[in-house]
Amino acid sequence: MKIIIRRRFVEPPYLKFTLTILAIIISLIISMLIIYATASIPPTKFLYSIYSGLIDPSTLRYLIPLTLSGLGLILPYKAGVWNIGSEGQLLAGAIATTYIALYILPKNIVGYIGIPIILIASVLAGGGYALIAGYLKAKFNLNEILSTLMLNYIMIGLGNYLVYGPWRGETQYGYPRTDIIPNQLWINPIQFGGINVNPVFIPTIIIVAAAMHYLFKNTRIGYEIKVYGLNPDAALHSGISKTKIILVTMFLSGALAGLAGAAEILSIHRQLIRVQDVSAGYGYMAILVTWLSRMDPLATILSGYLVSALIASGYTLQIIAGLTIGAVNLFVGGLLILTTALDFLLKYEVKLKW
Amino acid sequence: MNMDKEPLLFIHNLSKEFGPIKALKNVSINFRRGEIHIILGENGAGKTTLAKILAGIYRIDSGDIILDGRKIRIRNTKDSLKNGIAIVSQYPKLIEQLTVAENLLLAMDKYGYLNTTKSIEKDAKEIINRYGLNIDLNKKVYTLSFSERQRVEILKALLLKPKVLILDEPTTLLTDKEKLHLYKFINSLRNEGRLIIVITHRIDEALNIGDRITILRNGEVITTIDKKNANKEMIIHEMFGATVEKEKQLKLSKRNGPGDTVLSVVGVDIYDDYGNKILENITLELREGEIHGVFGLAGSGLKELGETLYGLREYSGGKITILGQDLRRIDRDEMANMVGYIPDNILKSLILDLNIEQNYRVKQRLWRIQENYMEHIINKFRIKAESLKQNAGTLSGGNLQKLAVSREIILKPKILIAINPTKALDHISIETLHNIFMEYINEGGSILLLSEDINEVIDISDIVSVITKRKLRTLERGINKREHVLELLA
Repeated sequence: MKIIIRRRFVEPPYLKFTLTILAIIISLIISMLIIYATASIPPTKFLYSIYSGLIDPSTLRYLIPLTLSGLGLILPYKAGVWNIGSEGQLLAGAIATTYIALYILPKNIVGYIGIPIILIASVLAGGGYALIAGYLKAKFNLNEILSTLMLNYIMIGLGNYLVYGPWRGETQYGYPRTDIIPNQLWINPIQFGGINVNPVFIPTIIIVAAAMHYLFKNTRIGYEIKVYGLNPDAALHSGISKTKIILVTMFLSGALAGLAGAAEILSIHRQLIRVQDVSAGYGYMAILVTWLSRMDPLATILSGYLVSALIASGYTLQIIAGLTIGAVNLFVGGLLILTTALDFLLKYEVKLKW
Repeated sequence: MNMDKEPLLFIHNLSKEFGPIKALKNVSINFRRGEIHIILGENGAGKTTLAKILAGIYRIDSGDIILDGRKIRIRNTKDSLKNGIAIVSQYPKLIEQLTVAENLLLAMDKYGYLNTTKSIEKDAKEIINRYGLNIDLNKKVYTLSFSERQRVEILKALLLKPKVLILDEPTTLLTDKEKLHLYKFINSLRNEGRLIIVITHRIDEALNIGDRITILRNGEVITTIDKKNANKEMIIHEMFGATVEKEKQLKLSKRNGPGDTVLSVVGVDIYDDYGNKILENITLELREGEIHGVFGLAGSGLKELGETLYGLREYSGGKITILGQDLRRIDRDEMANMVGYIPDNILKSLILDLNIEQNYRVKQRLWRIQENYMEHIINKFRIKAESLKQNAGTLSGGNLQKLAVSREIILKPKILIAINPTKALDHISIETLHNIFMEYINEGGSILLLSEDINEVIDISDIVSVITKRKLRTLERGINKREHVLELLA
């Protein structure tokens, strides 16, 4: 038998989609088998909990931070700039949100003035924080993987310093939390077709995804980002500015993560708590969301929903099967590896010859 | 004497294709022990391909190589050295920052891993003395002139005690005096019973030093003749066949005189990737409507010079002015609009994963280019493609190069900077590109041609500069005879 591997010159239609579905199915089977072998949980129970996550209304709660950050990551990733600092950028947004809501805005400000101010501040904070790594890369060619990762820990340290120290709330009985933000600044879900939908952030996700789809399909800057990612040398030689690409993609990416941070505070926590519990790993999970969508903005909504459902089903698994969240991480990890591995088939054609 | 003339190396029905190009077609040649065998042909006839096959750089598609009556397989350069075949390539490939002895050591793995250059010095000195090569083993390579470098290459080959020594266009960069020295030296090697294969396109040289001459044309052996039966007229006829008249259509194009200065460099130092100064105190001028050819060897700083002028590298010292503006004040997209640029490697210019149309649109001012205009360009530049939607990765090297050049000059920038634009192209593509360059010049463009190919520089330039020993020297306008270039190199 001979295996012939040839580089593809034209990608067949729907191949990306087919491979993603294939990755989901294979990783599902693998995790079912491992869980059955190690914990004797029958596959039906596992499948049921995944299913319950898919229809669980609380899935939308995870969808917001994951999809917003995930959409943001598409921009630098398309340009080959590996921002893994969503976690820190999200926290920058959350901290800015709390600061503006508690210390800057007058206590009696009306929501439709206060909320936009807060959202703008969170966008600037997240984007600005990402720009630090972006600037260091553009100017000094500092590896952004390292700098964004390290900046995550700096922001975690800063956030915890604030909640344990100067910002610790007077009404919180000494717990490491800030005071609750004024309730006219809360963004509460509204009933929509029987489920709770966030009236600000769900529409924002749809608008951002559509705008990014347009950006990459029809605009010069979207094309420049793509070209820079495919071949930085060629981009440079054609007059595309490296500095501009890196700064723009990093800023927008951080801005969307910052917005996710605002969403967590305004819609969920309503105060700044220990920051590990605010970001809760969404910044890292967002990498998976982006990867799973193969950097397609519209598909990111779907992959964001899938990953959110998996998180929700993790809680179901704990209840019905006594498993920890690790069971879901097994599935998520398998999915990430398989998606990456199957990418080989996108670039190369494999034929068996007997 | 008769014993010396027995066959040593026999190649039989050798074929080699590069995609659609048949470089060698069923080539059979019989080489004898103790002869100087000339492989003669014009550019693109397949001479260098043949040499590279014997040296293990290319693999054959089909055919046999028989050495000493035994069939051998040459899959890589090691196989070829093992069988006693050594090559001295046209342009020496030495490491600039190392000494001669260190370069020699790199080429010999039989001297083991832990040895210092001492182990090699004894053998090297013996060869230097025997043939009068005149090489200082402790000199750094970047201080050597071209002919010294070539002697280092020859020394490197001789250290391997080869049965067969191949010299690829050995006199390209030698002055007349150096040539005579080389010829004498080749003779003495022949008299020791080795087979010397000399690749050349120069008929006089072939008649001067060869014992037998094999003429190649379009990848086929036309004939093998003894020197005593050969004369110039018949060789010309065999070499060019019926194609003599179409030879130099380049010369027909009429040029305008030089106009205003469009690019000037005054006293600038240029650095390589590691921050070492690779060129010192460069002064250079490009005028409108002319081709300024700069010749330099690989690694001499040509690439770095081109990249610096296009604003891709830091420089120090003097001043670079492009169309009246200080280079440091020009930002990237402005530069891309003012100056066309062909990098040393096509992969730095084109994106193989994108199609032809998308590759044009990479350039900002071509963002809204019409499809029918693109088709017009493709026809004009004779780019062989089935459609605009074809991935660039499916095009051949020559067509990719033409695509890159066309993209850079359709907007008629005032200046085109080209680094080795015809390297690795077949002679037909080279001719097409040179004609495109001429047309562009006649429309008022100016080209800074940075090339490792001395013939290209001499053939199409109006004014010539030479990079040697970290300096750039410009010949007087109009003086671009090869002898003058070589004098500077010596």
